[in-house]
Amino acid sequence: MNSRLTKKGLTVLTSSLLVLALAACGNNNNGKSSSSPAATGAASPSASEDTKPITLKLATWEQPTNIEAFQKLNEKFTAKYPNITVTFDTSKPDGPYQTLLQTRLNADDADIVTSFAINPKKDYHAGAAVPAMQQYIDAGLIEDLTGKAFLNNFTPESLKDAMTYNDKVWGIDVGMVTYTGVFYNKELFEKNNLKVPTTWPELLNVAKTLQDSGVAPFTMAGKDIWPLGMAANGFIAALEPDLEAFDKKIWSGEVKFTDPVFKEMLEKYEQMMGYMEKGFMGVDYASVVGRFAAGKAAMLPDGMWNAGAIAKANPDMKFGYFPMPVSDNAENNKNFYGKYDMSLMIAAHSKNKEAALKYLEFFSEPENYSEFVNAVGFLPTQPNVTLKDPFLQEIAPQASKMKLAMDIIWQAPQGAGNYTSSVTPVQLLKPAGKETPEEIMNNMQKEWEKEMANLK
Amino acid sequence: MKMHLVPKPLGYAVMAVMAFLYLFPLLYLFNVSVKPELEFLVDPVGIVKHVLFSNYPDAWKQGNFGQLIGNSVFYTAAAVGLSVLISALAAFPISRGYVGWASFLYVFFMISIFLPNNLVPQWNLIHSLGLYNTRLGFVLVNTGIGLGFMLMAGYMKSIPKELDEAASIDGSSYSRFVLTIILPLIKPVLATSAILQAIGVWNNIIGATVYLSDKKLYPIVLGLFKFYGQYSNQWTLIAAALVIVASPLLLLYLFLQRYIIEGAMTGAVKS
Amino acid sequence: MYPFGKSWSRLSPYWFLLPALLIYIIFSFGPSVFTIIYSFTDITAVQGTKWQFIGWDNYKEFFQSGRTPVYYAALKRTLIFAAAVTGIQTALGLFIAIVINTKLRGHMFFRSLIFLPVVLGVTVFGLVWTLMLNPLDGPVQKIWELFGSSSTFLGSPDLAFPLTIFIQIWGALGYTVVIFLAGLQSIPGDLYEAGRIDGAKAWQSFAHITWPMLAPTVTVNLLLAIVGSLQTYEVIFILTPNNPYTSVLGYEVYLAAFGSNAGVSLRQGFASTVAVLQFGLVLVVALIAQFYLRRREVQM
Repeated sequence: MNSRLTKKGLTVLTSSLLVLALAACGNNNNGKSSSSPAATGAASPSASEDTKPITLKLATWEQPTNIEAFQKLNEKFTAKYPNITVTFDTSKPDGPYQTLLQTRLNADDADIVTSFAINPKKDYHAGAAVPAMQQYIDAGLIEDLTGKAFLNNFTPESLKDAMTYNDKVWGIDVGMVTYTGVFYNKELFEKNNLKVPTTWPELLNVAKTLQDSGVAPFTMAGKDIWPLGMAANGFIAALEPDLEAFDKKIWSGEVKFTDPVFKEMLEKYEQMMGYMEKGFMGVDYASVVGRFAAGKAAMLPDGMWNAGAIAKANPDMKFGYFPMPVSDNAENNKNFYGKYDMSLMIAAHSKNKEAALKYLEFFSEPENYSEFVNAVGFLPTQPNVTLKDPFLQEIAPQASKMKLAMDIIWQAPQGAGNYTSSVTPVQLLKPAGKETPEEIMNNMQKEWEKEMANLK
Repeated sequence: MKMHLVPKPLGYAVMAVMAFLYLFPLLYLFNVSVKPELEFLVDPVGIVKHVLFSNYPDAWKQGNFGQLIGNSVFYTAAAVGLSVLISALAAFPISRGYVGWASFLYVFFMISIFLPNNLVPQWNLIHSLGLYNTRLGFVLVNTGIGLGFMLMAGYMKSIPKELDEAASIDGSSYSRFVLTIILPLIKPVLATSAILQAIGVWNNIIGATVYLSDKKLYPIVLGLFKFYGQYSNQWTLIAAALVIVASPLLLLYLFLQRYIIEGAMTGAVKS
Repeated sequence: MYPFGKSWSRLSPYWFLLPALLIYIIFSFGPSVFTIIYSFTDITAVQGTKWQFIGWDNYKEFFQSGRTPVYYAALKRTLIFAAAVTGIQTALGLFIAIVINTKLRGHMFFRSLIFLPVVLGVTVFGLVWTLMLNPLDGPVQKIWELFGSSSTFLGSPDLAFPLTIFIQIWGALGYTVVIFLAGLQSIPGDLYEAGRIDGAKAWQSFAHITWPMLAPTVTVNLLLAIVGSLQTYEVIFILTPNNPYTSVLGYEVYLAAFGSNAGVSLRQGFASTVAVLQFGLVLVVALIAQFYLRRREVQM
């Protein structure tokens, strides 16, 4: 009896383990076979294609202006193609969205995905972790769009800089944004006879004057952490204007994290945090615009995309945007730094690829594109777009010369810790974190050396 | 028989402090939920001046909570029903030694509490079975053998074995005996296991985050969490949503608290 | 002896056992075993990527990469979290159970109230406390201000972690209380009566009657509480998902498997390694706890 049971038990056990093993490998094989163009690209359009109802799943992050712009576009799209509806799958930006994107792509559960530029790692980034989007493309999860006619509507630079990898074009990029600037409340500035600061001492003076008059100089969404790091891009860029050369020097060991430039960056950031409104570490990104628009603080270091949200929160408000003047030398404070923002790509395993292509084509039509880019407030990547928003018109001349920010150039080393995931770990700085600039610099260097030693 | 391990005044003092600590957040929540948004921004803590109930229909509509609560009820009922049934059917032969290797099997099931976090391979398994983002998949990952099994096995041991023999002499088959005699006999412990597991399934927010992508399939806890992410600056709306989600539980609890608490207590003694 | 016949009908119990065994092995035990196998590979979450066995590399990375301090800090917090939650919850839970068992007026209402968060669930009470701890003039901030202080609470590098512990205890205390109540009510009243006749003081009856009689209840539940609190991370997932000063091992597993930390994310193999190490920790702690608790039971 016993031996029979054992045998039975073993059969059950092994067969279930087999299921699991198949599952693990199946994961592999699935990807390979369906990513080959022969298997997927040849979906022949049949007669019923135009009438059978299709639902396109679009994965993107929650940013009210983006969602509204998409909703408008989707309505127009469905009006043109009545059988296709587009549904959203959203999450909070940054980390949660990366999670969403990962699960949807790997579960073949999205047709169109949004991301940023591809930013593959460069040759000298030996030992850097492979960026997620690069991994997705390498694994055949993203559809190759090379040669599609609608690409021609976009500037060649944007296609090349943002969407090209391995000599193929993988998507379209909606526009550029900068996030090294500071929104300021023009009324509060005027009331206190303040001018837009162009150097660090001037900025400190502005902050002090505001504080003395009872207005909180700055606010920021400290609760979500990432806005702190985003603003730090302006700090490192003003101190090291040639960021790509700087990046190379870090990887070659010529620049150390204990060098004075990091000290200056962290100390100045610490000074700025000293002028934040009380409780900024409890403010989340969705609330911060409202606080600025309500006049709770006079300045908000943030991405330019929130201009629309500010105007919506308080239509009467007069506000402007200036580059964070971190250097003591006004000449170094003139530039904006940023990135290619939202890109649209098609999931290679999508069952509705034809419809998804139609969507991108529709999106790229100058009229639709122009409306969209105006709504989301990016700097356009199509030529001949008229910017309607006065804010965009105002900053466009200066901002369209923007350079790539440090967090776009930087590639985190494999197994990076809290100190070198970015080169501006300001979230660890008091009072957001627990450490002094010196402690952070030493820890950065220590962590870096460990990572580099592990490579050998 | 009264036991005075704690002097009366101290007892009352402790109860008062703790009651405050538990009541205040709930009262405050309710207070915020009936505030106009502007009043909340100006004075978040004060007692509401202009009572406004419109936060409730707003939250209800924007959060689609009706459907989400329905989802949660389905997941919980299905996963708990399935778990309790299979646990009971397995616990009996193991507690009686009617299958070989019974004590090994008992330990084998019990180590489920300690096992390494299996989220990653489990996700791959569910995905490759085509069960990702499906109701069935989410029910299956929530179905399991855990504490309930232990409680049942313990309880069954206290049922005299003579009962089995008597039943067999009466000509009952094993299946009839288990289904018509044993299961009704262990009702209290079935209820306890069901309640304990229901709390776990209802609140499985990590599983829902990982296994479900379609908003229409979300259980209420995930829907609520996403709602909070989406409206994170509108606390009056979120508070209303929280009250909406909490009320059916509160109501159920009011009616069933004797069973729920006493169920948890029986579970404790038997284990 | 199996009384229900021979041959065919002898198989019935096995049939009844089968569904539980299958579901358990396929969806729970099997994946756990595979977690251990995964931990020696470089499998990623990106389907269609080649993978291979890489020996102990993931383990080496845990103990000697740039991120190692993060893991050590998470490990330390996991232990603190488990110790604080288990310790405070048990002590406070027992004390409150004794208070309730004194059967003062309103004790039934009080018992229900304190158990309520268990029913409401971690998402609901986590968000309620987020509201309570709103640093922009929330009620707790107002109280803080009475003492001339202010804090960002869940955004604070120092307070956030203790607060997650507090909220975890607040949410689960009722369960512990109820368990101890059950234990207390199973102690025959005459024992205390006899003690009183012998002139025992309150603490003496506690030390000589209540505590020893509760030993089995304490043992089982302490073990479950320790194991549970070493593994849980829902509270952190809900309250402080971005705060680098609150992460615990369980959350690091989630982050490596499903999160977005540059240089770590998407790596199912490495995530599994962290899970296996966490398992090792749970096993060691549980065995030590078991050893001491059993010994204590015997002594009494």
